[in-house]
Amino acid sequence: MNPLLYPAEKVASAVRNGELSALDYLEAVLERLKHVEPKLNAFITVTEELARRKAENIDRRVEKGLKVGKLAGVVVAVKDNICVKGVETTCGSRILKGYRPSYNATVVERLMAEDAVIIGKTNMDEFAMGSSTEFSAYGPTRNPWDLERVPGGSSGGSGAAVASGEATLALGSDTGGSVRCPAAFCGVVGLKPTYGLVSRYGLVAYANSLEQIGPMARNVGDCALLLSVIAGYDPRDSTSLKVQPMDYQTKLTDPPELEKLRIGVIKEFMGEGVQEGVRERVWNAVQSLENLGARVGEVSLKSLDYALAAYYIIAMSEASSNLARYDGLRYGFRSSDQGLDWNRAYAKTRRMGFGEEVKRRIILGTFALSAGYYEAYYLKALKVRTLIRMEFEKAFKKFDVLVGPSMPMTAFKIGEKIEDPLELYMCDINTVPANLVGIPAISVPCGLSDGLPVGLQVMAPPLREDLVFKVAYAYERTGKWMFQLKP
Amino acid sequence: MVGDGVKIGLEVHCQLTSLKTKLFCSCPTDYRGKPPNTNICPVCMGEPGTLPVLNKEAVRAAVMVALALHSKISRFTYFTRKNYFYPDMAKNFQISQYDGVGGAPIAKGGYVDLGNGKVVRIRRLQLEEDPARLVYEGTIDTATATLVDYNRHGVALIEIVTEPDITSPEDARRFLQKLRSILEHLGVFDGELEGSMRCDANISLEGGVRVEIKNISSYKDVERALRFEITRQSSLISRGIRVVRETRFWDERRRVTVSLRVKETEEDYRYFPEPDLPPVVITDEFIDEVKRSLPILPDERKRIFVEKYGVSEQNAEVLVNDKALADFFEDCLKHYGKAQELSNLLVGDFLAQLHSLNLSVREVKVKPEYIAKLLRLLDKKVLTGHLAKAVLREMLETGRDPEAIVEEKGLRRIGSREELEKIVDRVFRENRKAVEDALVNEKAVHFLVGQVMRITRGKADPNLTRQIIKNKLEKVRASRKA
Amino acid sequence: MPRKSRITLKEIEHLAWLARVQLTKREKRLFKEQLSSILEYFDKLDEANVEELPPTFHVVEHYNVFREDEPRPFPSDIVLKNPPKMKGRFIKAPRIV
Repeated sequence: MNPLLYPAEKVASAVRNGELSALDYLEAVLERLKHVEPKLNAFITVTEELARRKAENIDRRVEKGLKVGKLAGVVVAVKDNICVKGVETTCGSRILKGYRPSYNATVVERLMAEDAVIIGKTNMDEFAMGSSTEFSAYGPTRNPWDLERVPGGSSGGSGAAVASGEATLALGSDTGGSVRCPAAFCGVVGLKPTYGLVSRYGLVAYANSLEQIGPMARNVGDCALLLSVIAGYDPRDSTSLKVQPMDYQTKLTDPPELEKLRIGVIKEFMGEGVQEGVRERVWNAVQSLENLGARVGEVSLKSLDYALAAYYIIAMSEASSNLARYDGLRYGFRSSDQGLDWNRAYAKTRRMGFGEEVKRRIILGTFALSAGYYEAYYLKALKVRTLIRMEFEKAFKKFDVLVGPSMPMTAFKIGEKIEDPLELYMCDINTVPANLVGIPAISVPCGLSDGLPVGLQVMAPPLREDLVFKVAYAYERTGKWMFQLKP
Repeated sequence: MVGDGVKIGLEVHCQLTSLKTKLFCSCPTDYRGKPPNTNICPVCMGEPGTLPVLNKEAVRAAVMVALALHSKISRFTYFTRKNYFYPDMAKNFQISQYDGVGGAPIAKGGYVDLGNGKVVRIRRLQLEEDPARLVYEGTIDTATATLVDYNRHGVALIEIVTEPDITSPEDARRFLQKLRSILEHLGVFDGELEGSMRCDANISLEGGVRVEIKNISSYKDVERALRFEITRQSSLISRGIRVVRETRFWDERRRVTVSLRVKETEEDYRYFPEPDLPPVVITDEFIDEVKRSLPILPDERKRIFVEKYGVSEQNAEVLVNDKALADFFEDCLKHYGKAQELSNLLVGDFLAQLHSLNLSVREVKVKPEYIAKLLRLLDKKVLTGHLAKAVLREMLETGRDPEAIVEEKGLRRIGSREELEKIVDRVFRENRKAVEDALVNEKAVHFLVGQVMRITRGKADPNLTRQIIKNKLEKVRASRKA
Repeated sequence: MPRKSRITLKEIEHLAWLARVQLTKREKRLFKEQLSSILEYFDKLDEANVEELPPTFHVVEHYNVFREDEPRPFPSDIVLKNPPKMKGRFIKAPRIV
């Protein structure tokens, strides 16, 4: 077997046993990267030298018989909104050009402690605002399955990197579907964890109350492994949950059957707006799960009709405040401000530094929070959030997991939706509920429609990552889908 | 009349200087005297991806302040983002608290008794982060660049907002002094530290509009700034010019308020709950625990000074308005039992001399037993009041024992009749004209007494001197008649 | 029939000022149209019967998350590598007035 196709666990064990040199493996990945990257543009920064030094260090320790971590030699790509000390972190924005964080994100510390080899920072929609990775100041990323199409977003670089073998694993972030959308479009596995399970310390904030860093991988086992490494309480994030670390991998087959598992198919996710091919693949997947012993039923969540509007109001409001700090003083890009007072200088730096979509969301968020509108928009959206939470809680009394398509469509063409922001927002209709409610949701590939991957979304109650992994893993083991390296 | 119908409200920001770290990060707070941008970290610099974590002790300190100001403590409180751009804010929002939709300050209501029959009501108390220090190359309205030092950015502030109950600049200063004393008694604040207390003032005159003055950074300046503003506004009103509703900036060097002429749109802070910080629940048990640990506070202390020690109300008020002074008073009292006399000295000559030496009570090097000694020297008439002043000054300057000063400089009162008679004889010989005047004009006696004082350098007992001179004049009259 | 715009150019300009983002004429016009249709979509929420419900600020209901008051100095020189304009150890900002 080509080591490039090894699952992460196999890479780590081979490196640990001295069967595979971390450096050799890295060089193979780098070679692959150099071959496909010109077509994909999945990375903003490739940290080749840092990666080599880390790989060499791992090999030396293996030689000396010293202990190496759970991810020894595993090549990980990190979304460019997650801080790596000393490595340029741009969030896909011009305004952070040149910014080198003075600290590591908690998840990055954890990766390093387990001897992962960080290969670079992946492309993304500017500040994670988008569903196609077209809104990056560093050019769009292309879908490895079809270079004319988007990889999804906003973690499109991470999705494309994993799908194309530029990395074994990747970290994305998911505010309203930004891990699950590219996972679905690129045919890989991606998880949005329970809010508070993974520390946000070091994740550049877009919408604090919604987002989580999430693992992306070629298979469910790798995804579970990566979550086991990054999850857990962090005193630097006050919203972090005090939960015991868990080895999610060991839970995948515990027990292996889906006997008595109650699966609810969300009606609203299977309605009119969904592409026929997508609906078909998802029904087939549900069928497979039923064949494994699960009990399938349908559930209607009426409040989902409000989810998208509520999500965008909350996300934009929080974003308008989070992005205020980019003024050119302390880091990143600063326009020339000869002769300008601070007001004008700030406005100019921000005009030149932010892209159009970011400006649009800042303006809308500013509007939603401003005097006279706060209650009609922001507060109302938060109340709707309560309504949706209540409906999910009710649904989880009847069902152990809820399923549907991750995305209502397969990857669309680059430029296809860029002119109409609202149409682009509509793509997130199935992914935003999990963020509003704070529950775990995975996207696992469930076949192709017209040659493009389709993702099955599985959601479970808070902190039941074990359940979503179990269902996803059971489906994966049916062998109806096998990971394929693209392009 | 100028100053009639004045309404002043203050927003006072005090650093909780007892805290060792900033409000939301672990940077030390000992930034004073350090180079710019030394006590900074990714969190207080607002680096992307960083998150705030609340300092536990800040909540305790705020609850203490709330109890001391008789405020109602919120059982459920949380932090709110106040969104506005300014170069002193690393995130361009301030993590603060807010009394309105999207906010719940840590305490509301309460009052401060000014001790002069006036009471200032408190509107609310809130915790928030201190902005950075801005340095202008020149003055704020002419500088071509602004320099930012984030050392103090993120230090915990307690903001105390009053109702517009203050009616004069003097009372504004009094309020600040009383507040300082209360906070110092609590041990959460040190007013001696440069820049630890700052305030903004709202002021309106009868028939005028509200003007906000920002950047007031001392007790004296609050009085100066408000006086300036009253004069400025009443002069406008008297000339029939409308006072503009605006925000002005106190320039402490030029001692004027200046208009910043910024675009005057209505501020819109877009308050919303800080998503990165969970709410704070304050339980009755916690409040009780804090209550039990509260130290004695100025008003209670004043009562003790008056009722137990017999100090006059007026003196007691002055004493407790400065914690260091009240402490010093009690230290001295251990060595000298006559509390009223002691308080007279402290609130009188002692404070006056400190003022002229530009010293604070805390800088005083004099041992309490020396103050007691000084008072006893007065009691024993070794010193005259005049001499005591000179000795006290020497004590404040050097910290020396008053007896040693008296010995060395020979500052002992001349109380011997024999000695003084000799000097009076000499004065009579040397000032024949003045003696003639004094024989007919009672007032000219002063001149002769003054001459004795001049020769003895103030050491002569004034009463005895006067008596001897009068006797001698009487003798002269008698001899002339005969 | 052309719909009434939900947001005026003047409002866009005011919001841009509040957010300190300069917009070009083209952007202002574009945003006026786009924001109007997005706001119209947001009106969906008016149908939701949520007046009586409490808002969800935090999906996880925890409270009293504190840090001990123990200083941990950070090496400031690393932080000071980022500012584009410095004067000595000061960070340079544009003039105020």
